[in-house]
Amino acid sequence: MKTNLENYEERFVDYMEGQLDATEMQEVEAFVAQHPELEEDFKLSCSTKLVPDTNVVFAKKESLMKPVTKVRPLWVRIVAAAACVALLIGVGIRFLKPHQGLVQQPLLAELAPIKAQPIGVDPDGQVLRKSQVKAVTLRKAAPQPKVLEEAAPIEMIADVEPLEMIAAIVPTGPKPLETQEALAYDDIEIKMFVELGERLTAIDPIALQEPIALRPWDGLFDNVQETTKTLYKRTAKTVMGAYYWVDYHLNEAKDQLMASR
Amino acid sequence: MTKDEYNKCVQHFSDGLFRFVLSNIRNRELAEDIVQESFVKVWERRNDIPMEKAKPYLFTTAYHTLVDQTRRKEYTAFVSEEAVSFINAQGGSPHYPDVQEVLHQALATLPEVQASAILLRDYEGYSYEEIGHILNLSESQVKVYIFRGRTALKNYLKSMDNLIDIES
Repeated sequence: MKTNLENYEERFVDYMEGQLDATEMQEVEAFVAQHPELEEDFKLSCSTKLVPDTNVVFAKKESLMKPVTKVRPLWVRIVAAAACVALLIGVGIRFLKPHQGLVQQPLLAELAPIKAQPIGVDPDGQVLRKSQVKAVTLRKAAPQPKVLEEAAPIEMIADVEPLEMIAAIVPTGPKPLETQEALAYDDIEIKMFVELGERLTAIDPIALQEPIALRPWDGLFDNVQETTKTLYKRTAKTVMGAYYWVDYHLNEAKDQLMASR
Repeated sequence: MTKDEYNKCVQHFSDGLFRFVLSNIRNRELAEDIVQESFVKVWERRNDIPMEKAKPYLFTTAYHTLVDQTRRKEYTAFVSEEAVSFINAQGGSPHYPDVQEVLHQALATLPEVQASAILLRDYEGYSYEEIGHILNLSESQVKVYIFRGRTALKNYLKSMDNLIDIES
C-alpha cells in the first residue's frame, strides 16, 4: 500500500506503531519529504507513545501476598511428637518416684577405661574397642545425680555390639537401620551437635569448663561439620549413621582426656 | 497456580496493573480497589489459571471492572484543566516530561476502550492480538481503536501547539 493524501494518517500511525517493514518506512519518509506541510503532522503522530511513570507503584502489595508456610514431612512431626511424649513421661517418672537410697555424683575416677579389645569395625574401617563400649554405658549412667540401684543394670549390656547399644540408648531414636528414611543434611548436622553436647556433659560435666589444652572435645566441635558431610554421604543419610559417628569419636576423645590426667 | 506463583504475580504485575488502571481512571483509591479486586479474583480462581495466563487475566479483569466503574460514575468526563487540577490534588504531577503530561491529560478525553488499547500497547507492549484477548475485541477492531486513539492524541497535541503559538 502506497502512502497518499487519503491514507497518510493511517500510515503515520502504522509507522510509529512499528507495523511497517523497512521498505515501507522509507516510502513513508519519502512521502513526508515530498509533502513538507505534513511534516508536523508526522512528527506529532510519532510523539503519541505513552511512557509509564515508574515512580507510580502499587503500595499495598503486602496486603495481597499470601503467607507461605514450610510443611514438614509427616514422619518428622510424628518423631517430634514421640520425643515430646517420651520427655514428658521421663520427667514425670523422675519427679513422681519416691527417693530411695543415697544419691551419688558421678566421678571421673569411675570412668576408668577398660583395657582395649577389638570388638568391631566402624564405617571408617577403624577397629572399635571395648573401652569405647564402656564409655557409652557410662554415659547412660552418668547424666545426673542417680540413685545407686539404677546404675547396676547398665553393666549388663556392656558386651553388646556398639551399633545395637547406640540404638538402645537413643530413647526416641531411629527406626531399625534398614527402614530408616533419608534426612536432609541440615537435620543430621543439628542432631549431631545436640547429641554431642548432651553426651559430653553426661560423660564429663566439668570437661567443658577445663582449659582449652585439656579439652579434646573442642576438636570434635570444630570437626563436626566437615566430618558430618563425609559421614552423611557414607551412611545412607540416616540418623543412625550420625549417632554412630558421635559415639565413635566421642570415645576416642574421652580416652585422650583420661590419658592426659 | 501455586501460592508462590500467585505471590510472584503480585510482585511482578501489581505495579503495571496499577499504572494501567490509574491512567485510565485517574482516581488513586479507586485504582487500588480495582487492582485488589483483580488479584482477589485471580486468587479465587488460582486452580484454573496457569501462571502464564495470570497477567492477561489480571488486565482483563481490571479492565472490565474499571469499565463497570466508569459507567456508574463518569470518571472519564474530565476536561484537561480538571485533569491537571486532579493530578495536583493527588500529590502533584507524576514526573512526566511536558509532552507526556499533555498526552496523559489527552488520554482522559478518549473513550475507555481506545485509552485501554493504547495503554496496553504502550505500557505493557502487548500485540494487537493480545490486546484483543484482554479487551474482548478482534485484532482489526484493536487496530481501528488504536488508530482513532492515536489520531485523537495527535490532534490534542496539535491544539496545544496552536494554543502555545497564540499565547506567544
